[in-house]
Amino acid sequence: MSSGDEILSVEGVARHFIPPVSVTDRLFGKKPVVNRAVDGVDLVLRKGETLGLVGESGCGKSTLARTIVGLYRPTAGTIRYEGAVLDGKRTRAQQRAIQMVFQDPYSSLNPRMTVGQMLSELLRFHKLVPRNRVDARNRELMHLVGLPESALGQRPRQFSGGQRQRVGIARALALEPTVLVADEPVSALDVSVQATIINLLAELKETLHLSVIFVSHNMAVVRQISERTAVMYRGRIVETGETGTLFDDPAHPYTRLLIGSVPRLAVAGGPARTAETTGDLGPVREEVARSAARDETQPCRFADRCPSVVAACAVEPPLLPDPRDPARRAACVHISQHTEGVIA
Amino acid sequence: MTPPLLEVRDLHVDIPMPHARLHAVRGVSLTVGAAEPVGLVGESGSGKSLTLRALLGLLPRPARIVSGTVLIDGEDVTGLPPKRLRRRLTDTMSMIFQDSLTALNPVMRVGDQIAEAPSRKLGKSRAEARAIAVDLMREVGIADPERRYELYPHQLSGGMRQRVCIAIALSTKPRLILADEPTTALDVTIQAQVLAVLRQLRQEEHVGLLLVSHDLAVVSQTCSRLYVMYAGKVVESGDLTDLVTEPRHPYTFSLLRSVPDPDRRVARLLTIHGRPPDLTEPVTGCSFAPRCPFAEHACREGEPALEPVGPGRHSACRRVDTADRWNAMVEEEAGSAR
Repeated sequence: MSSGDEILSVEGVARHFIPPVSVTDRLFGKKPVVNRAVDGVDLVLRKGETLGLVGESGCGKSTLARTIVGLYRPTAGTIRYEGAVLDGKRTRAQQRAIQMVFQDPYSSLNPRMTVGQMLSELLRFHKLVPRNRVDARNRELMHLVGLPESALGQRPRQFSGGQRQRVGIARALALEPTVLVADEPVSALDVSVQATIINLLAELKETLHLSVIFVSHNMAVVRQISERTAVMYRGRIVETGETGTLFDDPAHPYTRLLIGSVPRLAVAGGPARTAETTGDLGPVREEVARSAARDETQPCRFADRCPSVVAACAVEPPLLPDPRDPARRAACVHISQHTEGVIA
Repeated sequence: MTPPLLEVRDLHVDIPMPHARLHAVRGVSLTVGAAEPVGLVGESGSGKSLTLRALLGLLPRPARIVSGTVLIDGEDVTGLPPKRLRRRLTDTMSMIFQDSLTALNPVMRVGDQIAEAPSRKLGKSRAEARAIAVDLMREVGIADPERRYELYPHQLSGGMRQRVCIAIALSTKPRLILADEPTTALDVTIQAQVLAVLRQLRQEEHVGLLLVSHDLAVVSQTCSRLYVMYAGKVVESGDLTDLVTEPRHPYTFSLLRSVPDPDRRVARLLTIHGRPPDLTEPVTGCSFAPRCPFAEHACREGEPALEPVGPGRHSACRRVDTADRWNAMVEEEAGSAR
């Protein structure tokens, strides 16, 4: 990690949740089971790129996103923005720089405020424009996200899902961020509306020179929007790489399972894409909790489902570079053999 | 010719609202042959789920069937007295829901829930019903069924629960399974497994399937014939391959072009502007015309009917242009926009 073109870096970040223990459990000396939602993540976001963060429910991708934005304090590790460590107390400028777009814009917007009131409040609080320019800036923001100026006088419930997501994006952009963290921004939308929001985010990234972390469970959407992709599994990144290569030739067995499982349009005569079915994932959260209760040296977290498990998998590997492709890393002991494309 | 297993003719479903009436399903007709897997695709609000639920009398309140005819093996069952109608429907069909957690009884062991129908409906003894349930669990891919028989729904993962629901649906030995977004709530790796179970059933059990989904790819994994719904109506129907490779309705065309492909990135996704019409108002003209990139003046006058456009294919579009021409138009438009 040498290049100076990185805008944000995440180093060994963990975020654990400790559930409250009831009085009776405490009396019997029962220890809480720590949920290691994010469990040691290294990640770099480069200037002007869109980084896709994919994984299934419970893998910790949303927790990581929220930790990066500052909604959660990391249990361990460091987050740097433009080289400066972001600690518990972020400056106003740092808060503004990293903004979030939420999955459900309805619950993330104040239902009693019009869009105009909400944006004006933000602009005034952060003293971003002189008072007499607030209205002009509001209108500018509406143009930016493709909403009519009349939207400023409306409240969240008066919008359709797609329009509401545009309001959510306008809210984030009002603070003139350089990094946008979008957490499942299109998951709640119908497919036809999904496309408009994906296109909008891609356009905004270009015109406003944003760097974007795009969190999603939808592999196809991530392939469409991101230049690089990071795959998360049970709290860790298991593979990162350039999106095209990662999708076409996954190095980690989990990535392969994930990409292979995405249903494709199957037409008669064509190959029926049957996904690999390596065992049942089981109740994800419980298993995460179980693995969390284990000791420091734990096996590869994909070992129990992995078709190519070997003895070396008893110790969890770090993200290892792919000898064939320096831009790619995978947390798999087989990565060195990936040269021959051996893992099967 | 033998009549189809299920035929629905001109189904209308309304949802009364405080000051209006929402015409959610506006004259849907469809057929499902014996052991035929059929897909019903559309976006939220298209009326696809209501159509499915209306078949088993499971419409959520206050939605109600206004008119329509249901034929089973060619026999009109709509006129039967309520009890016999219900019997006839439940003997023929069973249903799988999207949310397996609310579909199951939380305080009853999953095995007993599967055994319930065999013991009550088919009159099997306790032991026989239990054996049937264990076999069904094995059939839908539940490993170690004897042990899992004793578990409660919350102790199972989402994928396992959905398998239990499929086993329950199979327990009445139906000839047709209605499935409402059965994999939408599942993670993608689990979705693949459940789809594999449905595919396998179709091959081994010779059960018909009517699958409702918003995801064309999911439907294509299990179905061979499709109905595409928009604004309460079927706008296109036909063989899956024909429909996907050469859509004859602009909505199907747009839908196919607006979904990202996991295997390839496109320069720009096609977008469908605007939103579906408000179905509390009468629809004038083609319901898709306001959003259609190819709409002409004539499209806004009178709603087009579903007309045959080829062998086994129907489309409710006046434009007879083929997808190739549409493709060319879209490319041209994208080129001039640049």
